[in-house]
Amino acid sequence: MDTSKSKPVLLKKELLLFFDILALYVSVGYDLSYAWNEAIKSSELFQRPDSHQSMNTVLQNLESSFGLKSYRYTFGVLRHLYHRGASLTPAVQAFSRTLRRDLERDFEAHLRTAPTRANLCLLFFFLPPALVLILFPFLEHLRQVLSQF
Amino acid sequence: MKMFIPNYFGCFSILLMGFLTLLLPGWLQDWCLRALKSQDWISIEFFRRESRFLKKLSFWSVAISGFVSWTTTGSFAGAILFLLVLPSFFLTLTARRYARVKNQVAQDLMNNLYAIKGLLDVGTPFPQAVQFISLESSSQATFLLSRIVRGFQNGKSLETNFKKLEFRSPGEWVYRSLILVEQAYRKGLALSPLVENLIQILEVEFQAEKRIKRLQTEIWVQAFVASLIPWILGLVCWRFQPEIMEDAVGSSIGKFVFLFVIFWEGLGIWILRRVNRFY
Repeated sequence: MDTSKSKPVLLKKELLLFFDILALYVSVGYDLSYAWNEAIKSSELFQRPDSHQSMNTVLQNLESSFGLKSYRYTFGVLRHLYHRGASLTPAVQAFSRTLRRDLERDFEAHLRTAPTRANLCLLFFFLPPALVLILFPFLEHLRQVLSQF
Repeated sequence: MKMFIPNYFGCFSILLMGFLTLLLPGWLQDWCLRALKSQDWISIEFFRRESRFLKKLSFWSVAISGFVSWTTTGSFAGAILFLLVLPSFFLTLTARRYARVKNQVAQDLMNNLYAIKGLLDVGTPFPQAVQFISLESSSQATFLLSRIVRGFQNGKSLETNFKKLEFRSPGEWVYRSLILVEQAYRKGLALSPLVENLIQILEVEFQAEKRIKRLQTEIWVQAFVASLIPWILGLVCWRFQPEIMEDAVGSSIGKFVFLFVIFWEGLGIWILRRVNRFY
């Protein structure tokens, strides 16, 4: 998946799923590089890293180029924790929770604004044709009547 | 007595309609699968079951439109016209039925996940839990599960089985969750907390989908009414003031205006679809 071109909501959904799976593996003690490769299998978000690429490089690349700018920091934090050998589980679970709440907020916002957008759409695309269809025959008739004089 | 004069156009039309009626069901099935962008197991199964309905629909729609057209205008033009619009008519009709089936399968899978969780809680191993569910329940998803379990028992992973059935939709999350559960099972991880967590996620997803659908229905009803009212008013006007409407339709600017209105409303429908989408 090209993260720079995808819809933010879709990216968040994919990232959430990815972190959920990652959290599952990391929480039982698997190394991040193994967990990462396993999580990639169930997600369409990232491509499998090259065998010569270290986890540090992968995370660094994502930190600088991931499609969602507001979530680039997560890869930076992961890289930092991984580099220091600290526990990753609480961080990954926290990212997952944050993403879920963020998605819920997006969803609520979508539900709030959708009727307004739809009404604007109706106003712009359906009201003018309605007026045209109602008024045009009379105007056309009037034009023809007037043209006779 | 009136002599029978062979009507070559009529004979040709009847032959063409018969030929097309024979070809239509299979062609429509392929076309619908492509239009719905789904070549998965559910859609193929759905259209296989729909084929009888499809044959009847094709036959009767062509026959009735041909008869009406013949008796009113003396030609089979109506039937040929109907043949042209039949694909979109059929797609609209089946897309709804297909969406209903998809949702039902996703809901069934979700319920199966609840049952699997219950069995895991009492200590049943995962393969046995899946097998038990696939034998005991009688939902549409169960048929799917039983096919997957057959492969699962032969040592193939759930993911391989899903891929074999090209099972992508419905409920992408349900599908991924099942794969995740299976992965966790193979790695020897604790399944019950995972399934519980997944059920919570899926519940939220289902609720969200329902809310979106409710909202979309409201908006579509509004759009449908808004786009239909002027045409109905036009017809009413035609009934009471036919000369005014005939002047409008007959004029060169009138044709342009009507075409523009159809285009503008079509554009509105397309934009409305995009505006409504969350993912």
